Amino acid sequence: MEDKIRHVICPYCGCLCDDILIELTDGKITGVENACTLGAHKFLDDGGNRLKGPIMRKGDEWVDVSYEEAIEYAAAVLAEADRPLLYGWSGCVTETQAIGAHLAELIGGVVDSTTSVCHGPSILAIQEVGHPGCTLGQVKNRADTLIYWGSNPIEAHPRHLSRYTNYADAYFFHNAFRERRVIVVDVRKTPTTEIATEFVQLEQGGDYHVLSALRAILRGRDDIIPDVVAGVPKAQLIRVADICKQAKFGALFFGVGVTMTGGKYKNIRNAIEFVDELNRHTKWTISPMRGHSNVYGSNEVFTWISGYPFAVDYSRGIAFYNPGETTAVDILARGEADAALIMASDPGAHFPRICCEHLAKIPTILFDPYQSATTHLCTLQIPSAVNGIDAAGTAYRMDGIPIRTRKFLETGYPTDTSLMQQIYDRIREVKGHA
Amino acid sequence: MKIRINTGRTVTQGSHVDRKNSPEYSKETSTIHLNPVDMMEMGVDDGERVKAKTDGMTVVLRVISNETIIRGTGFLPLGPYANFLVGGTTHSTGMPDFKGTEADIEATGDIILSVGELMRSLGGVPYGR
Repeated sequence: MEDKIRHVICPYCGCLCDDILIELTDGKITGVENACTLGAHKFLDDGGNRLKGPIMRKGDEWVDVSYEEAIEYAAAVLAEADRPLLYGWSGCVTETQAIGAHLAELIGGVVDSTTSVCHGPSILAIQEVGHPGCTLGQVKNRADTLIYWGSNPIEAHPRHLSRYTNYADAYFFHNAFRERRVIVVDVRKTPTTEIATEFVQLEQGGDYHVLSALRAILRGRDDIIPDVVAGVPKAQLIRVADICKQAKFGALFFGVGVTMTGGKYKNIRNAIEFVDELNRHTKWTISPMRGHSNVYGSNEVFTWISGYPFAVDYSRGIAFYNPGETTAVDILARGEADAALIMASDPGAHFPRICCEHLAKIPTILFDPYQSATTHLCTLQIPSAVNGIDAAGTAYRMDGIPIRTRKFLETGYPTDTSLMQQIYDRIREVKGHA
Repeated sequence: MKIRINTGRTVTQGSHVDRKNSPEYSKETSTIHLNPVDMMEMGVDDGERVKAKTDGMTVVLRVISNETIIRGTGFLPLGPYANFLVGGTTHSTGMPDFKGTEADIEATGDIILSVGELMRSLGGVPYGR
């Protein structure tokens, strides 16, 4: 029997596209419309790819265990740990994230999200100088000039350009595509640089220098700029500054190409201050290209519960935040954590080697529907329903808009929200709080 | 030869994030894009293998030539092979130096490990069902 489900939310990236059409045949996903390649793979590759149930490492062997045994083990490990790390949270719904933050408080642990290895530096910069941002709807309808800096949306957020920027229809333009200009700043040629009106190729790690030069030019001090700045000719910098000043409404989007290179949050601070400078001439906004579907949600949830957006340490009984000390990579690299809960993320693939080595030494409990690189490092993996397929909840789009994801399949897998709630309740019981 | 390695998403890498133990994911994330002149100096052709070394750690990669890559640099899609070379220092920001790893690269005949075997070398136990 065939069925078509409209207005499904794609749970892949921070765009959270809300116009996906899913075709089901006999309860299986057989077609996806409107999604990009990444989103289509997310839906179409799901069938037959999930772990059938929890698996536990015993010595050098893997054995199947029941959900009851898995919850009992997870609760015992976390209740006994002195320095538990609760990490991930970007692929699950906000309801699960909230339980995670409360669990960290209950067991005196550290709760950190994948933010710390994507846009953590952006948040540090925003805490220093603020965030002149806006929703993507404003950009879609008003922006005539766009900058993608250290970001390759054609491969990382493939529908960002068609839904919100270059290729999107706009309320305030007759022919938006012809009237918009796109500046791409990157260290290498990418598919996105191919569509740029102006491609600025800088040397790796040269973001801070180029931003400083652009700010000086905007201040009328192009006389102090050398002929070439981090590989970019002065003439091009003057041209780019001029295009930016001529904009009626500009939007700068930056990716992890800026947050991960030398300077880290200082690069972002400089980018925000560049936008601040532009606002003396015209209207400009700046926003991070958030990667995972609900990584922004983790910052919202942790902030409203603890006051801090990520890297929250409850070991003192109160919330303490000190990125560089209480962030997941630092805690693992120092060999500090004595147990880890990894929710909906894959540090095995995305953390430095030394962190992975430590995860393999300690009891590591992984929540992931699929086999990942972390599977081989963990001691217990618990598969749960997939947010946006057989689980529903709230996720935050990259511009901070909360969107309710849809459940359109019944598979029988428990949700990560219910599993986390059971673990939380069990630990309360063990600790005598019931 | 010293190569500064940049990382990032590609469509193929991103399409297989829920199948990290597939040959497609392993092939994509273990393939480093280098400038053809650098490859000529190293004595390697498209599809051949190289050793990348940092801090005494070595990972074997496949090479592919890409004329848009600037000499002395390389592009390796993000994933476990790229991060095998990354150190744990975050300069008190929480963020490691994912995009600026300096590695020594030379030709090799060694084999490329699967994701599971790579995790075994970090102390893990590969799961393979």
